[in-house]
Amino acid sequence: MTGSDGTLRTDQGPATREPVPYREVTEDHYAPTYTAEVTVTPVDAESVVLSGRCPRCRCPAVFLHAPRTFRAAPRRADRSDIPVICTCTTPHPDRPEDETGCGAYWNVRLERA
Amino acid sequence: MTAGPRVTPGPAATPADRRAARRAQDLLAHELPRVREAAHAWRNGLAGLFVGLLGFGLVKGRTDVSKLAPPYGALVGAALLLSLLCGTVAVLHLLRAAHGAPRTVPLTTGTGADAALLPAQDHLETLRSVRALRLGVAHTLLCAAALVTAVALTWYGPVREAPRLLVRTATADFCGQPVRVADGRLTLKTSTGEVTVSLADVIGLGAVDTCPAPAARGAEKPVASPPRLS
Repeated sequence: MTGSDGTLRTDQGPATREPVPYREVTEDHYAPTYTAEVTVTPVDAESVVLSGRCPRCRCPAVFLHAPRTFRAAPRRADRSDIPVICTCTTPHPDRPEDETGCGAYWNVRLERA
Repeated sequence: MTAGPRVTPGPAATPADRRAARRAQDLLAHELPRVREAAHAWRNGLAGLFVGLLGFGLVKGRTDVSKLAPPYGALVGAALLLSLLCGTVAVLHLLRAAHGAPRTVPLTTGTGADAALLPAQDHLETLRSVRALRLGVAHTLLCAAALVTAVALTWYGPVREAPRLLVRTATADFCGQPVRVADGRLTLKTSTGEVTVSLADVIGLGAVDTCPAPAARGAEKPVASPPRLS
């Protein structure tokens, strides 16, 4: 299957093909693809770790969601929509030095039991 | 078994969402060094506070706790003990926040949930360090407050009164501070002035903490029911 950004969408890891170039893009299918296979691990009462694959580059990516951090404006406690970016460590071409991942981003909604 | 949290597709993302996510990841990536740095700054600042408190030593006040009237001597002791305890707890918490706890932690290995928690270890340590920092600051301020209270009580607490002498003669009882004994005469400092009593007239003598309430008999201090005299 080919995505709209021209990358090959496959379950195979990046080791079997060239890494996609870095692009700050989002597609409608990113969030459904990501949430279909992501694993949610609670860290504490507020924070979770999302472990899955980036829906664009298909690299493994771990995303820590913490509503509060030291010396940062706290987010609203009831906020459930989380913006997620690809955090994979694969060296994607054209990626700026201070960036991580392949540039893909999407939103997910966290639902607590 | 309760189901854990789950995620579903959210609303369409925008570049602002990407920037927000990027900013959040940056903050999380550097939060532990930030809290360590803040703990150092708080430690130095609070040490400065205590240096300022030591400056009180330049102003001399009463230094002998034993001169305080009861129960102020005991209160000074309690305040100093509280200050010592709070100071110890504060130092331990501030060091904990600045340098971490002196213990090893199990190395999370393998796959599954444990491995997924690896990236969150620094975040958890940050939360623990922030809590230690807050406790350290609070206990330091308590320590300072208890120390100031102890010094204030020592300086301004009421003085313990000197023991009084209750002297009984055949005609009257006298109570006051002994001034001198000379030529067979005892001089007392009473609330109305000095009174001299011939020791030959004394039929009873005793030390009391406070003089009994006087009856209206002039300068003398007759006692209706004096304590048992020796």
